[in-house]
Amino acid sequence: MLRAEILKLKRSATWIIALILPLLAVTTGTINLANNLDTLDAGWASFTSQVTLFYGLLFFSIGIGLIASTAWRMEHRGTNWNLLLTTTRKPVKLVIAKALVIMIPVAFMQLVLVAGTLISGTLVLGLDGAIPWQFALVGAISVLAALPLIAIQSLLSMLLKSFAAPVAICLLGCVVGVATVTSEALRPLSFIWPQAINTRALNLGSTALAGSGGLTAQDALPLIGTALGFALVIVVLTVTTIRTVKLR
Amino acid sequence: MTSVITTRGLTKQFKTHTAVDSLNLDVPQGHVYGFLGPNGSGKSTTMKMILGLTQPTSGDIKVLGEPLTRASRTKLLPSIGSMIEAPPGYGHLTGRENMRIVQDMLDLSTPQIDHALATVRLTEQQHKLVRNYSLGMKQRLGIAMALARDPALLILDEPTNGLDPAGIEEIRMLLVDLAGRGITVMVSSHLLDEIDKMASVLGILSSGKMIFQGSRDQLFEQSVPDLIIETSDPHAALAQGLTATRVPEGIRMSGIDKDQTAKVIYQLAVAGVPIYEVRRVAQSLEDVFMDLTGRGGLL
Ligand SMILES: Nc1ncnc2c1ncn2[C@@H]1O[C@H](COP(=O)(O)OP(=O)(O)OP(=O)(O)O)[C@@H](O)[C@H]1O
Ligand SMILES: [Mg+2]
Repeated sequence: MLRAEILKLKRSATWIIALILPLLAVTTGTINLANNLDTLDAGWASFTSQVTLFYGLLFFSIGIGLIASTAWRMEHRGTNWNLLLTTTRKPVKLVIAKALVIMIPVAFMQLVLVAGTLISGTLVLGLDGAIPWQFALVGAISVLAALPLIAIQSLLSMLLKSFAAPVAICLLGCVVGVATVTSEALRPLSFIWPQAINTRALNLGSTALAGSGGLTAQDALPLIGTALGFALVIVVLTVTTIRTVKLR
Repeated sequence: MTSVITTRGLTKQFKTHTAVDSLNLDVPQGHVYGFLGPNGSGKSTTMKMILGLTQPTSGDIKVLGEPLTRASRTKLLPSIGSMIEAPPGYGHLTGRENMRIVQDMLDLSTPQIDHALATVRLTEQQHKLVRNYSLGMKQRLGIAMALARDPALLILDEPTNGLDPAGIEEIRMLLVDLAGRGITVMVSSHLLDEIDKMASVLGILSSGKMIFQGSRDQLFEQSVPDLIIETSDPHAALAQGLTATRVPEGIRMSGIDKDQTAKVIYQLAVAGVPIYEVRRVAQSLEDVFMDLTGRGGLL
């Protein structure tokens, strides 16, 4: 089942999305830093914070929305739902396989972000100091932290035939997410709002976002734990939805 | 004769109207069952219910001896090959890759995939992207995906759509051959000719209701074809008080059975009417269907 889903990624547009969005973040981060060298003078720390700020608030989550919509779009074409439902023995396997298969381009997106940042910092900006390898850890943690959003966008894209509608909902979620991480009063919400969880994970150890937490087990583990629990709930919800809506 | 598909009182109600109305279907094992009906008569909806793709409003379905439930559906699925409405397929993948998806989903062997592709004669084109397939090639791929699992039951909704005459003939022969090997085939169509040539049992649907189910011969028994009496003196024949109409070669009579025919011939012979020939008009399935429904045919 997972092999079939991986095969469907071949020649799919998910890879383009996963390539463009992080490169955009690295480029804007690089330009931003080059133009504000006097205020952003903390070297690598300033640079990675610049890159992850907008990426964490917006690009990453939107990328997940786009990848999930792309992954489901092929199933809405023609009579492919019939094929899917007459070859799927266990809906739960399908739901998990789809989520995992969305996770692959998402992980690739993080790889591009990390590699792009390190390369740009070294070659374009010529930053001093040791290369911050812990930034790769931020990239990895945020893939796990993205699971709730991956599960939700997968559910939405499964239900809605439209490609744009789930992405629009994701964007609205980003707006709410920005509010929860920037407002002191709403901050507790940022631990359970999927887009905000992404923002928090990507800004672990960041200097650009207030109250972002450090890159420590103490700050990272609760985030990952919540994310896994949340994702599990959505998976169960999606399985129920297939049973009641798709096999109506 | 064991039934592979049995439905009792199968009904599907959509908001505004009843698409399938108290259907009692009996699809016998090892036959090609032709499921016939005009557009919108409920063929696809019925097939979807049999596959568990949509829930009936009421009624029971038994497939391969088991009542269709969520649990039994999972167990039955690998034995049922199907294609509903139009062939599925991922356009960004090749035919072969599409088959590998089915292979992985149902744990099939590579020879099964090769064989299915060869059966529909798609081996040569298997490495082309499906989005570049012709309609007929897509149709073949859809059939291959249904066949690969070596099903006990094959449910195909208008499988010859978009095929050229040679392709239609191939599929027809394939389905007859499969039935000969004990596989039950339920195939729908609104093309009478097509069904007539492959099905040994027919089910005819009209506005969601089953108006006939049985063999081809039984269907023809349902309606007696007109009798043509060829004579050089139709006036004399009509003067005998027969309910008949004039036709160029003589007279034509409707709805008279064998006994009545014998009586009419005797009566005319005694009256000295010259009779050159007495025959039934050749009747197509379409004539029978019109006779049965009293409406303007299937299409
Ligand atoms: N999801 C749905 N919602 C409402 N009505 C539907 C739905 N699906 C089918 N119908 C209606 O049910 C009736 C039967 O449709 P169905 O597709 O089963 O016919 P069909 O015999 O397969 O026709 P065709 O030969 O055109 O394929 C039609 O009147 C159709 O409009
Ligand atoms: Mg149909």
